Amino acid sequence: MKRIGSSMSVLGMVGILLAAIPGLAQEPAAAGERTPGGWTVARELLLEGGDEDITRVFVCEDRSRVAVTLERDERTRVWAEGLGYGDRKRVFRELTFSPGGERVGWTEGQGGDVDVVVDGEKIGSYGMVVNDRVVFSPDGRRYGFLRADVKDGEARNWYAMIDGRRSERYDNMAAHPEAPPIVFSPDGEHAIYFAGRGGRNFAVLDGERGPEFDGTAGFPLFTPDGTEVLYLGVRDDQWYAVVNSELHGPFDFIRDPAVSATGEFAYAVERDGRESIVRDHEAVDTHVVARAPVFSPDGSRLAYAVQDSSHGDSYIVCDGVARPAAINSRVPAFTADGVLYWDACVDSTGLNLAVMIEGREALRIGGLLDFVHVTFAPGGERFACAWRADIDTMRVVVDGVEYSDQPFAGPVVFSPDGGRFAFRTVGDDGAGLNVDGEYGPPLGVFVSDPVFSPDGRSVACVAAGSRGDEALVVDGIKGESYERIRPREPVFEADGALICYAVDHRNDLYRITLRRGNP
Amino acid sequence: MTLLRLRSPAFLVAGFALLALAPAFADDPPPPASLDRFDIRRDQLYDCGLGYGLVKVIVSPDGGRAALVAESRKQYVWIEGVGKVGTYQHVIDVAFSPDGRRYAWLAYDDGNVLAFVDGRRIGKYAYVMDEEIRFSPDGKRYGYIVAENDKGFFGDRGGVATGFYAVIDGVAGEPFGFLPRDGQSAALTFSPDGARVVHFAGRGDRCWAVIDGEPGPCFDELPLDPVFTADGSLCAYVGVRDGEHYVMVEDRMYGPYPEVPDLVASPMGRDLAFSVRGPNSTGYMMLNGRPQGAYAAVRGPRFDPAEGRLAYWASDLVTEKSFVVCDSLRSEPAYSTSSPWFGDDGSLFYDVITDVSGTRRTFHVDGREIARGAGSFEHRFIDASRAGGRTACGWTGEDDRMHVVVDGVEYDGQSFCPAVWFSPDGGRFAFFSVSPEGQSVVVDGERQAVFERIGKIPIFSPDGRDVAYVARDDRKKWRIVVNGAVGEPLDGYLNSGFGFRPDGSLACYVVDLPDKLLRFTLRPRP
Repeated sequence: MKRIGSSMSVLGMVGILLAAIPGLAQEPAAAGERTPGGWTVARELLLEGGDEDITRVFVCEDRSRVAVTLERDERTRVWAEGLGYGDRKRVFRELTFSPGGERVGWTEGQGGDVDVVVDGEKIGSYGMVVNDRVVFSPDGRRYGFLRADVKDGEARNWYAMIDGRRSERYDNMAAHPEAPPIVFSPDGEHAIYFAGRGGRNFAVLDGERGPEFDGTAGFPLFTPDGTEVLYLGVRDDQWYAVVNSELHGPFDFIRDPAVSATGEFAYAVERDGRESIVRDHEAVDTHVVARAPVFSPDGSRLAYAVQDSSHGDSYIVCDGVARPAAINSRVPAFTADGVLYWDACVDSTGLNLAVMIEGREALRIGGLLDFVHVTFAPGGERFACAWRADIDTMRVVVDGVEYSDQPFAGPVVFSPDGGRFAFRTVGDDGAGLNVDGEYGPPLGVFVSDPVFSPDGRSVACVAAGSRGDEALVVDGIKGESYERIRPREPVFEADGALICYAVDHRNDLYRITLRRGNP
Repeated sequence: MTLLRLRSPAFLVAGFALLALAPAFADDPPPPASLDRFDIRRDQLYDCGLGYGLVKVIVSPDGGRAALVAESRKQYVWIEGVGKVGTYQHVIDVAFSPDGRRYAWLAYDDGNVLAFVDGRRIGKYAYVMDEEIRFSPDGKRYGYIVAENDKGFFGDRGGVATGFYAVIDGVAGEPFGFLPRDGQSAALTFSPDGARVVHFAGRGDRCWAVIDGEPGPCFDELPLDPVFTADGSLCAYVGVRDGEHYVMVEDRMYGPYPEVPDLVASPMGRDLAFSVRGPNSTGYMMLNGRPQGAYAAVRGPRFDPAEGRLAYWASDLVTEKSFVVCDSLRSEPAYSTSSPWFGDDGSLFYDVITDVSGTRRTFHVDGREIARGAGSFEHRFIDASRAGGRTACGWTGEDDRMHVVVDGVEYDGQSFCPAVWFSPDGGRFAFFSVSPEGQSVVVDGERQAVFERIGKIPIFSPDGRDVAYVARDDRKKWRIVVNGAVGEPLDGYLNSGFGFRPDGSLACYVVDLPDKLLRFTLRPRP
């Protein structure tokens, strides 16, 4: 690995280009000039791709750091900001940043073994790495992956590698497709994975084997304080909920495990042909069907769906109260402010739904309904619904007012203060935005969902043209076109800046930072 | 990035699998002049000679013309009506246009892949995708996708292409970085009328369709093959961007939709259908841009090849029972209904699981139950002949034996049977049967002679009077069988090109190993 120092040295080398968004190509703004839109653009050249194609762009969760893969002559190499270039390899597999972007890991190889690289250092070369993935703890301090030797095309001798240390040998290891192969607790102190040996399967928590089962299931759920973890095990066709190493059960089946912000567990179980919701490992309600328990964000409320005959009316139960019957109630959900809502089929056609908020029918909608998006403004008082009424019409209702008859619209996005809203639209003449009920001009073939600045004054999106060129759009003003902009759905930072990364047609990589006002 | 591997010469020999390898005996008696009521004419098309042996024989799609690849230390191509056309280290592929008039081949020589069309060299490349030059259905156009690599040919080493471009009618298109759906579908597709052509292209993490040389919008993924309507006027494909599915029909974009799992074009006119799958128990079928009804779920749009009707599977939200919808009419909702399909004559087929265990089914043709059975249903089929109103079906029963029912009459005694074939007028039927004694053909319910293997499935003459197939005897010799009469022993024959002509004659390409290709023409005596 060739290190080129910090990103600041790159920045210092190429300088910072300052330009304004509006009419950039026609009327370049001088450095520091305040633009008509009130935004100033800083464009840092991070990497000159030259004759290498930038094939993939990876942006860390907080957008503070970027990595790309570059391809030329059958070889791919990684460039990561702050690290520089990796080695040229025949095969690149996957790259992961820690959530804060402090660390980066990737997998690559020459076509046979898989090399694991963390922070630019090669950790090892292995026959196989599960999901080709390096996993970081939420705080980025720790990392791990699951690996196996491969002989005669068969994976054998499995190990977990955590913080560079190898576990004992296993015969097999399992990873849920929707979960990382190793799950770290929120504080990063604990790590759990599933493994097997001698025909028995178990979870390994902080290096200690848990109870043995015929199989393990689901993916591990840690409590927010990291002191407890729930997973599922199956033994002799009987299902058990396991917390750390303590067994709860047996049941005929367990589904939908959930954990609250206060560290309570809930799940749905089947026993003797009936289904129950289990909270804190005690059955609290039993019906013919009982599923999908969900906690409110503060953990004070539990909601779930029940049915008293296999094809009969269904109910949503919350706070011990069964809410009105419907032909088919879908899974309940809570807003960030703890408001309970769900949608329910009001007839057997499936073409008519009621949007239910705290048990009250807030809106009745009908149509094809392949798209139904219900969104709430912060505070939970304002809500909007976008749905496909027929093939030419998406309807959008915000606070009871209908705004759209476009072929596609929504979902509605509210500003952080709840005072404004916006949604994307697709019409016969292209894709654009509707902001506060006003349709804007077409911005391209595609647009991303809009996003509001923290103060709610500005709205941004990325628009793509017919040849794939992409441009940032802020307050209706379209910026310079690039071959690619990532993330494709822009995000405002807490300080009101907007950071994204752009690749131009010469394969150069830029960081683009928008700030309101003069630099 | 694309991993490419050239088919080895051994594979090409395997493509010749139906040819037995035993040489003919010099003192064999002269072959008979007739078989049943047919006079046999034997035309020797080519004798490779000079130590060369046959490696591969290719018959044009219309059955009227043949080509071969012969090998000694090198390989050469011979094309009927043209002659020997070139000698190379290795011949990759030989292709005819559907009408057999045009021909093309790909060969490897001196580190390059060489492409020839109608005898003219079109280009020299590192690699040609699919190892095939593709002709349009009308034979007027041809095309292929070239993979580039600055080190020249790399197919036999396995390698990674550094770039791609299409060659259509000898003209190179714009270069691109990778070929989406490589290995999953043909690299390029002509419209049925041959006037238009589409291929997918990609660069970096984006991909697009190129229709008649014009690139379309960029997507993250192109999950399905592109389709042309039967009249060639519309090209449609599905693109995915940010997880949302769009259907492009020419320049018009439909969507986004949560998921479009299938897209089909009618074999007639300009009808297009696709299904939309919603995330929450909602799905609907789209026909020509209009929804055809919403259900809990839909899938599998199929068009009737005879009349262009649309049929699909759907399920009910509340009862969760499923049914078939055709021409907006629903079949009886059932515990589980299969996706529908059409026979060549336009008969609508589906079967229904009638119990929770899945061990009992009913079979349906045009909505009518034709049989019911029990078993594992590991293999099952339905066939029909609208002419004559006849039906047939088969399934693996509880005893692991195959039950075959034709017009309500059951024929058992076979461990495997893939289908029943009816004569064009529906008056007669035949099926291929595997039993412990060997393989045989059952014609009109009568089991014919047992062979070690049946090579070519039974076919009826246009007037239904004659039935023919090819079988292999205990001496590993192939025999043409016509109306039960068994012909002379043959080293090998070609499945393609074996068939009745409109005048009632039967054609078969025959190989006399190691070096001769013949065409047998069996003409019926009045």
